[in-house]
Amino acid sequence: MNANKDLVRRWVDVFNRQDLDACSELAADAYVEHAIAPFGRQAPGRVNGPAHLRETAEWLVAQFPDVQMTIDELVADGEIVAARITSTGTNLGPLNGMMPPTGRTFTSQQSHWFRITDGKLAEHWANREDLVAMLQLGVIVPPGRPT
Amino acid sequence: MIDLKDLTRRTWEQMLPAGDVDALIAVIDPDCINHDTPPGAAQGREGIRDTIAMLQAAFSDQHYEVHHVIEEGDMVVIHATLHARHTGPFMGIPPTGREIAFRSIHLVRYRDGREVETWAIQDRLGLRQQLGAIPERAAAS
Repeated sequence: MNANKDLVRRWVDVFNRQDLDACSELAADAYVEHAIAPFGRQAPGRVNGPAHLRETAEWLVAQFPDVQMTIDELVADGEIVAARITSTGTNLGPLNGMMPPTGRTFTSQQSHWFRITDGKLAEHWANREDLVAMLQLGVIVPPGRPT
Repeated sequence: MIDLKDLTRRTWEQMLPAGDVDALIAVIDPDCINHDTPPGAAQGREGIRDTIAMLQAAFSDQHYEVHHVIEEGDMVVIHATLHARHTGPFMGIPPTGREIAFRSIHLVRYRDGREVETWAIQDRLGLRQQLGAIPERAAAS
């Protein structure tokens, strides 16, 4: 059980320490990604785990070079680990790979779920408060607020 | 010994979609802290009355699809999607008649079979996109 939690702690370090070399140790080759990118419409589904994790980290770090995730809670049960995370970062690279950087910082809550098999991350779901993040970044403006 | 996973599943599958405030109040401790409420909003039992009233006014045909329920110690985490139809005003958005699928994760800490602390992480961005309140490709414009 603790080994599964440790795996999720190391997953966080892929982003926090930009430890991209760890991707191949952490993620199974056969990996199912259910998380949808902000403004995205479809989950990637079956992917190569190490390559996908590396691409995700590179994509995020390119937008938010100082991205930091703090684990607030880890709950493990069987092959599942759920993490409650506070994520923060400053938008210094093209947002979502296309919008000019805003230079603003976001802090928002996220939850990441993993299924772990044979000591590797094999399936991932995410729920993120992207609305909070996008409001803080100024990408979305609440109705009625003067612009 | 209360089966906390089963209690949590019943809370989401039965009590919440039915808007059964009495049943919900019975599983919420009077001093429950809900970390998801906006500053100044009611906590615990009063908070659930407000939440249920808001959801019942905005959404009909509510049904929760439970993806996972996990438990460790006194903590249960549930990952679920609310399926419903948007038939009343929601957060200033007039009814659209649209089907929604609102995914959320709730962490619930129990003591003596009652909720004493809860956290929620909800796909509010996705919900507003489904209701047409935010352009689907806002980041591309």
